[in-house]
Amino acid sequence: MHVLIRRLYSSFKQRKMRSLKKLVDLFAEEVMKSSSKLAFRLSLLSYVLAKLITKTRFFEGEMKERMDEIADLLEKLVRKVDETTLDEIEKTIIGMEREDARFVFDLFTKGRVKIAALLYAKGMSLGKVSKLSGIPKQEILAYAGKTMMFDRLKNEVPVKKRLKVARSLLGD
Amino acid sequence: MKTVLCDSSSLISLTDTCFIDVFYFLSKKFDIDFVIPPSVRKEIIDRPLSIQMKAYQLSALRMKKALKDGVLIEVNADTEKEAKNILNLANTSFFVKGKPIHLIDLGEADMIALAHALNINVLLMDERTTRMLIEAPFRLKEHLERELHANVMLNKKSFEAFRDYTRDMQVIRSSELFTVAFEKGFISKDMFEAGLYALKYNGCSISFEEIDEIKRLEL
Repeated sequence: MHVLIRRLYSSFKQRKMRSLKKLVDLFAEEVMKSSSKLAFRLSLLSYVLAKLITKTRFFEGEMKERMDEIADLLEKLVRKVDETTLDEIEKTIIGMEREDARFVFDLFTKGRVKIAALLYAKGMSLGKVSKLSGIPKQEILAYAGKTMMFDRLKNEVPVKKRLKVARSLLGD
Repeated sequence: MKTVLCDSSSLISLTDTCFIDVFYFLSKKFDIDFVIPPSVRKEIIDRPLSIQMKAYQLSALRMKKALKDGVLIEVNADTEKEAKNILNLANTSFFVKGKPIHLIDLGEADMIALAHALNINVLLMDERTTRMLIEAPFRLKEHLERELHANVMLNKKSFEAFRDYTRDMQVIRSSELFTVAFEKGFISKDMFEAGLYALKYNGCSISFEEIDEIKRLEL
């Protein structure tokens, strides 16, 4: 995980959006392997940072200072992985968004839904993902339903067979 | 009298698409009991109403009414110990790099435990992972290997014990329930086709290919 955190820092410093997006996936794999809340938070942070660096308004004036602050905190995170530093980074980003609010849902909320759906697509159950992310099942299902995740896997049981089971309930 | 144990995922799909009437239609006309465990009631009715989750209150109220009308029936059984055992079996069936993959949650294990305890063999479940674990565990294993870019090992002991619990269980999704209701006159042809897509977009784990197949068979 440490290697990935170092990559997170350097990708943010160099504004490498693709690399940050890749990290979303790599941290999500860690979540799958270990059910780690920390890995979930890092996946989420990678998503949020990937979004941040695409918005030019965050590289101007006072916001630029906050971006530097985030970079410093990420460097601190590389030296020592702790939840407090993660909290500080999240707080800084939430503050930035609040000052320049444009959406009803903030980046962290959006990211949480997205990563929850990603984990569900990868094979974790809906209940497990909902607990881990704190996102209600309803929201995860609504997001997942609009992706291709249910089309990427071949039918486990033929539709005809399932209909037969359903019809048997009606006495047919 | 037939009994179907309903998972929260299917209740969500059917209620969010305004098709909760499917339960009314089928339960009255065909004498089917649609039962839910207390955990499902707490999750999709009590919680949205008690903590004012505005986005889900309407669906929660619809389901609350269905419970009051006796269309959904809450059932309980002392399954705590069994649910924990099933959870442990499911979550120690697959290993990656020597570590077990924790795939499911206690709520999902409890569904299986309750079905087992009450001898219910038809589950209504739109959730994909638990469904695959019951129906096609090897396909789930392959899927995990693709997603994790690693070999996934099977713990035969846990896996076989889990299968013993689920051997007689059959799973249908909201899409199949909706289809048989259509066959019995619940809804018109055009509404049926639109409804299948609505269910998919609201989280029913059905593919476009499967929707096409249902359309070929039914329309």
